[in-house]
Amino acid sequence: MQAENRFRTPNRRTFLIGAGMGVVGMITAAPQRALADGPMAFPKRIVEILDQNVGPGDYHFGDLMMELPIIAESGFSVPVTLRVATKMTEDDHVKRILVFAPENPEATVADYIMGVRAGKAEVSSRIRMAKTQTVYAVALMADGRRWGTSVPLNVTFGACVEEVDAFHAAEFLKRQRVRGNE
Amino acid sequence: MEIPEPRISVPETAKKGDVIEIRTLINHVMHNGYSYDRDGQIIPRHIINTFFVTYNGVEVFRSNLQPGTAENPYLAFFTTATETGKLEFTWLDDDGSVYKRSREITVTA
Repeated sequence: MQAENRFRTPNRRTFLIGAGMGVVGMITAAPQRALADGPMAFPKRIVEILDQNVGPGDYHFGDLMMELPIIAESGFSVPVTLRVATKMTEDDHVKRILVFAPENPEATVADYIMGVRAGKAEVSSRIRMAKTQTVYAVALMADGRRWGTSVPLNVTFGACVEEVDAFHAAEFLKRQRVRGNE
Repeated sequence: MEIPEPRISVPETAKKGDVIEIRTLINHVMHNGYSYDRDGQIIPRHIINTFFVTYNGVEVFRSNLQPGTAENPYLAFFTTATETGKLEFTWLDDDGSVYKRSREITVTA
């Protein structure tokens, strides 16, 4: 009976282990929904940016994948990898990939332009996140297809804050690191 | 501000047709224009706004960097090794500075 309960209610120890694994583990937004499921829904702010910069159109879940950590301890630097399932041939290649964070002061956080010469449709960078939010990405293909994806991201300390807070965040991370070395 | 010293990783040799990974990092404060200093004053925006790479004069990758890019912008991407030559990397700063570096690559058949 007791053993059973231990599995049901995570105590402090199991919770911390779980949280630790969450930080290390990566989440991949695999092709979640088929093309038949209809176009993706974006927050209004992102729809406006897309209409202005790219022109109106529908985005589908499918070939675009975005890798983000499950939990970002610091919103100042969040590793992100974008990948499109394409051979990058003359008729089938990515022209542009955009990343949006709707809760950031400026929603567009990344804008990559590439072509056939890339050979492989993959880009990695580090972005800033103001707070916990869903991150969106779109990929524009040469033949006019448009892929989209979204990944929820938890942010412990947001970026775009006062320097004093940034100082505390840095101190916190330093302590974390020391603890990890023990 | 210290002068940015870009770090670039490109393989020295490659076989023709190989897809090679290029990694770049440039040290830069990337002030996004939304944070405050200790006196409560807004730190004005100062970022690297554009980055592009040319391979023997042909552009192979470009990024319009945003204030949402983390400090010391890091970018990793791919290109196809087509011919022996020069890869030129250019970063454009908000203050008008241009940082340029290049790397040679030898492509074997």
